[in-house]
Amino acid sequence: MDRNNVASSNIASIGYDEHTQTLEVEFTNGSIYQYFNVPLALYEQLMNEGSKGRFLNTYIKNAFPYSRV
Amino acid sequence: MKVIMLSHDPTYLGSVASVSGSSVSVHLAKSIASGLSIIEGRTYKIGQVGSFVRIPQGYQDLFGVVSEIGASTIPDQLDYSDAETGKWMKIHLIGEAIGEVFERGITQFPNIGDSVHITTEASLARIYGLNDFGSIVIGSLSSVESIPAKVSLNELVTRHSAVLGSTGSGKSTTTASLLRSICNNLESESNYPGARILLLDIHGEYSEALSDIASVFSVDPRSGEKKLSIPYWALSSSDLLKFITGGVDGPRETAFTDKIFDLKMKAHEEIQFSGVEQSSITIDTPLPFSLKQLWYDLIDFEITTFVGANRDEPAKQQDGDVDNLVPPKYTPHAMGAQGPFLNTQAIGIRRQLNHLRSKLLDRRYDFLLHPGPWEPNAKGETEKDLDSLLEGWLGGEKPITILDLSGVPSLVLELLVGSILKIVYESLFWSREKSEGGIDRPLLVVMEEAHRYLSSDQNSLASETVQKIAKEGRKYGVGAMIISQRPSEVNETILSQCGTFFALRLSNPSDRARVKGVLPDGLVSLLDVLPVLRTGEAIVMGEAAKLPMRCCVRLPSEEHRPRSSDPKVAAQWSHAKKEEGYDRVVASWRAQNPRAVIRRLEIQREKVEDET
Repeated sequence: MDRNNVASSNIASIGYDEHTQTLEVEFTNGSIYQYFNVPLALYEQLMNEGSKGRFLNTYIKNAFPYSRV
Repeated sequence: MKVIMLSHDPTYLGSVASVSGSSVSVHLAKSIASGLSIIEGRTYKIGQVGSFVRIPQGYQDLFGVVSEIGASTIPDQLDYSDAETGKWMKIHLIGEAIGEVFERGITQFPNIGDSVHITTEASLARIYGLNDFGSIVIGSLSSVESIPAKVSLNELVTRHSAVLGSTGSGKSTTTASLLRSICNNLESESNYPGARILLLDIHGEYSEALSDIASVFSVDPRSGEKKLSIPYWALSSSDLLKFITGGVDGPRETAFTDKIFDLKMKAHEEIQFSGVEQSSITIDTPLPFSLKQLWYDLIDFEITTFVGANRDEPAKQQDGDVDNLVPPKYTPHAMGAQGPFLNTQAIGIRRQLNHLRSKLLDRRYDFLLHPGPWEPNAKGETEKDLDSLLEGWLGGEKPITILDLSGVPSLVLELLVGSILKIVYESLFWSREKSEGGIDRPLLVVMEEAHRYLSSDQNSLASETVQKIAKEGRKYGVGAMIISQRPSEVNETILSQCGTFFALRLSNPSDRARVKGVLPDGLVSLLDVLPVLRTGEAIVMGEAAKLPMRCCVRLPSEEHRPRSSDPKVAAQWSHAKKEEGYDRVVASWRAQNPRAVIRRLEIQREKVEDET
């Protein structure tokens, strides 16, 4: 999956696959997580957000199934 | 011996030299060397390509059409050592007459040596002149003006037809004349006061020409015309969504269709439409629903924010306004532990919803998205239902209904034509067992400038619907008449389903090839005259014409001609220039209305007493 680099204190890059609704996040420590069934609207909102780390924390982290890649 | 005896007969042309399939070679006799023959006081030209010949076979007469004529080149298999003139012609056999009845197709071939005769006026009348019920006179034969050219109305309508010709070859005049012949035929005994014709007029040419026999609906109505409205909710959901959202798929499409279904269900619960079972309602059932409500409900869901421990209490600040398309206001989401939080179920269709909103606000689409009395309120109630719409289009007092689409932006022309045809066809298809349906009251749909919306390279709504009409319309009493100047750009399936062709002058080779390609007969040589036809002259061939015929279409009287005649350049340029105001031009352009004015004059009208 292609990830775009983002400016954030703890996230390095974010990618999204529309067909499978999978969000992929690379953290600054090098670990990569995939979150499943994330709606497109939420991804778009995330990309528009100033603080991506906090958005991820509030809406995605404990709300969607995930796995470490 | 027989040949010599008959050579005194002035109609005698020559004798059959060879027969191969339906093509016959004829050896011309010396007696016609002059090229002219005078029979019963009339002069006939001999060996005109496209003219008819008769080969008597005792009880029956074979008829053929001259396809080729020559002198020096002699068919190579034949020994012409005893030839009298060395002139020959090729004939294509087309039919035979037993007694007074002419029929297409032949049961027997001529023999070598059989005599070949000119068809005189009397025998031509036998082919063309049957005054049976169900035929209409469209003009007169080019070769013999006293013989009326007739086409059979049944085949003309049910087997579909096409009027093809270059610009300026007389397409619209031919069409106007054809329609007039059907509706008030003065010469023929048969009259069809119950005719039902729907004419899609792209350039607004016909409203004046047919004003006495047609009622007119227009997007931009003048006095005496009615407003053309097409309720969007009668369209199928996929066509509608393609237009209002600019295309959606996957979960986004489902969001729209689910909501539309919801609104249609609610409308039915509210109003109880007759004939509709609650359980059989689908997303495509033509029930009214409000697009504004659709927009509001969807945008509301997209922008909601929540507060509360379970993140389920809407943080609404202010209600929106459905009628003016104002979205509701919510407290913006914040990242703290207290919220407000975003709606994580939002689908992400804001872009599509903005598209919908701008379409709803665009006045050019009013005829579709704000269809006057058919526009539903938020609950789905309309002032009028579809029956009054269909009654206007299909059940008018006059036999012809003209839908004048000249004020429609060309972007939506294709959608518009498709929607109209779809509404008309679906309603006649489903009402086929009722007396208003297509079987009891067949409908002829005339489509002007077909290449603009029935083009061959795209599968559009219009093209799909016309294909459906062309393929199965016959069974449900819906006939199509396609009019185009670019037959090569019209969808091939549609054109090949047309049974009757009115081919006017066509000079473009690819267009000509298309016409030749769909010709059902092997009479292609007749079409070689296509580039040299006079204006208003047509070759009529196919199901509705017994034989392919070259005819002059009857010219309607001056006031009944369509407004499509060429500008009179020489006459107009010979005047000195008048004072002009180009602000009027700009006003028209901006308003997209040829009759826009800069200042609306308020004229006070007072009643004047007659003092005499």
